[in-house]
Amino acid sequence: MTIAANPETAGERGGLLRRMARANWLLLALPALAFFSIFFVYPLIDIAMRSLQGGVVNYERIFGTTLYVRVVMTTFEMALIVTVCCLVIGYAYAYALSATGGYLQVFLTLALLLPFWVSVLLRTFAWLVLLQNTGLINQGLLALGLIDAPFQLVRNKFGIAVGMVNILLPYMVLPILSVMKGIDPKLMLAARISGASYLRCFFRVYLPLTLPGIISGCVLVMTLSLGFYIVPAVLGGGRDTMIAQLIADQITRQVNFSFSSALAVTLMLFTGIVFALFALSLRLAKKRLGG
Amino acid sequence: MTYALQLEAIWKSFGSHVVLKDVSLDLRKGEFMTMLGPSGSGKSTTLNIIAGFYYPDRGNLYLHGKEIAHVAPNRRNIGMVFQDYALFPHMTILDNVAFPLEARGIARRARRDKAAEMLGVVGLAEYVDRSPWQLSGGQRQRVALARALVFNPDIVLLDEPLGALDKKLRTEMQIEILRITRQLGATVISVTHDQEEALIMSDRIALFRKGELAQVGLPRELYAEPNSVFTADFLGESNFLNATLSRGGGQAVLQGDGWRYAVPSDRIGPNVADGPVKVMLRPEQMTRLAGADAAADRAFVRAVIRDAVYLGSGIRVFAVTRDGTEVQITHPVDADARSLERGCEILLGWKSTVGTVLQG
Repeated sequence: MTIAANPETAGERGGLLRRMARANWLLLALPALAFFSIFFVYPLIDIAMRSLQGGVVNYERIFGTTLYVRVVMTTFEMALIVTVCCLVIGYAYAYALSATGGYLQVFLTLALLLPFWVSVLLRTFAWLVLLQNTGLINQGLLALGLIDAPFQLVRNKFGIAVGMVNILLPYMVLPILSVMKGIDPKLMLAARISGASYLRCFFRVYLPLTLPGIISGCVLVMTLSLGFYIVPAVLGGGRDTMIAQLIADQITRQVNFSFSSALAVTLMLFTGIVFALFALSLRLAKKRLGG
Repeated sequence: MTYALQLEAIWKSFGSHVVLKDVSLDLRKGEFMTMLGPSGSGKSTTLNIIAGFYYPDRGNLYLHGKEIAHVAPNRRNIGMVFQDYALFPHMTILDNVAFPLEARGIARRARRDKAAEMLGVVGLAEYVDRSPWQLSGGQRQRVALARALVFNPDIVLLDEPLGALDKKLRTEMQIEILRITRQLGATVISVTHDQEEALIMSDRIALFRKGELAQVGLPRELYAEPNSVFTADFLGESNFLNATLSRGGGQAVLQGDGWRYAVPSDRIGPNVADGPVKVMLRPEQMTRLAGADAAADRAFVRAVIRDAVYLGSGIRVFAVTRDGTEVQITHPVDADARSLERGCEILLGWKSTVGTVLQG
C-alpha cells in the first residue's frame, strides 16, 4: 500500500513496467527481425550496391536502350491488362459469391480456391497444352468447323494474360468479397425506395462502397504481376519478355550481376511506386467512408 | 373519397408459410397509422409490400387510387426510414438527403437547396457537411427522416424507427417525428412492436396477429373497446375473469365464481356467443374492497395475494382467484397498503358498468 500512498512513484513505476512490457513484446519479434535483416535487408542493400558499381551506368543502359525500355513497358502493360481482366471477372465473381448461399456458394468458393493448391508451374504448362495450335481448344474448334486455321493463343500476350489471370484471380476476388460481405443490404433498399434505378443504385452506392476492396485487390494483383517469371516464360513469345525474364537471362546467361541488380532495383522501385499510389488512394477512399 | 393508400385483400406466402392472410387497410391523407403486433405477425411484410420490396401473391395496392402492387420501389414515390437508418456512409449528410432528388433528375443546385432546407426542418442545419458516422443515433434518425420526406412522398414508411434509441431519446424523437410529419402534412405508416409508442403517436392503430388484422381503430378504441382477448392483452395490462354469459329479454346475465350481475345486452358485442366468456378489466378498473363495500351494484371476486410490488406511484398487487385466474390491480399507497401481505385473502371489486365481455 506504500505505492498507493505515493502517487508520484506509483506513476513512475507504472511507466517503467509498461516500458518493460513493451520491450518484452519486442523480444518476441527479434527472431523474425534477425531473419529478415540477414536474409532480406542485407541482400537487398547488397543488390543496390552492386547495381551502382561504376556509378549509374547500369541505369543509363536500362533507360537508354530501346530494348530494355520496351521490356519495362511490356511488364507494365501486362500487369495493367491482367489487373483490369482480374477486376472485371473478379468483381462479378465476388458479387455472385456474396449474393448466393448454400451449395452454390460452396461450389463457387471451391472453384476459386482449389487451383490455389495446384503448383503454378503445373497450371502454366496445362494452359500451354490447352492453348497451343495442336491443343484442345484449337483442335476442338477445327473439328467443329468453326475455324479454318488454328488461332494463335499462346506465345503472345494473350497467352500470358490467360495464365496470369488464372493464377491471380483469387487475389482480386478475396479482398473484394470481404468488403462486399460487410455492406448492409438495406443501403440498396434505401437507394431503391429513394427513387434510384438499379444502375444508379450500383454506381452511386454499391460501387463506391466496394472501392476499398477494389483498390486492395488491384494493388495485390498489380504488384504480383510485375514480378511474374514462369508464366511469360512458358506462355509468352520472344517479343513479350517481362522484366523478371530479363533479370534471369542476365544472371544465367550473361552472368552480369551488376546489370541484373540494376534491373531488380528498377523493378522494385516501380513496384514500390505502384504500391504507394494504391495505398494512398485506399487511404483516401477509407477516409471518405469513415473507416 | 380517395384514400392515400388502400390495401385490398393482400395475401403473401414465403414457401409454404402464409405470412399475410387477406389484409385490407385504408389510409387517409395526412393520417399517422401504426402497424402494431408481435414479431412474426406480418406487419413488417406488409410494410415491405407497400414499399415494393415484395410483391403480394394476391390482392391489390392503390396509392392515391393508382394501382401499384407490381410497380418497382423506385417508381412509387414513397419515403422510408429504416430501422438502422441505412444512411449512405460514403456521402455527406447533405448528399444523403439530396439523393432522392438526384435520383429524380433535379439539378444539383436546386436539390442541394431543398436538402438544406429539409435539414433545417429536422434541426440539423449546421451538420450538412458531416458524414453519417460523425452523428449520434438521434441525429442519424433525423437525417433518415429528412431523406424520406425531402421529395414530398405520397406516404412515408417508418420501420421500427425508434428501436435503436435509448428510452429518453425515444420519447423525445416520438414528439419530434410527430411535429415534423404534421408540419409537412405527411401521411405516415409506422411499424412497431412497442404498444406505448403506438398509443402516443398514432391517429389509428392496425393491430396484426398471425398474418391477419386483429383490430383497426383509434388508440382509445383499441384500449377501451378491444374486440378480442388478443387485443386487450397486447395493449396495456388486462385481467380476464372467467364467466358464463346468458342473454334474454334485453338483459345479459354474467355468472362468475361467487358473483353474478346483469347488464343491458346491447353492451355485449354481437360476435360474443352465450356460454363461457371472459370479462376484461384493466388493473385501474378494479379496487380492493373492505367486506362492507361488497354492495349489490358492484361485482367482486375473492383472491389470494401472491405478490405486492412498490412502484412509487402505487402498489401493483398480483393475486390469484379461486379458479386459478391471475389478476393484478394498482393499489394506492395508503394506510391499507400495509396489510397487503402474501397469502392474505382480499376482495377485488369493479363496477358492473365497466368491463368488456369477450369471447373466451
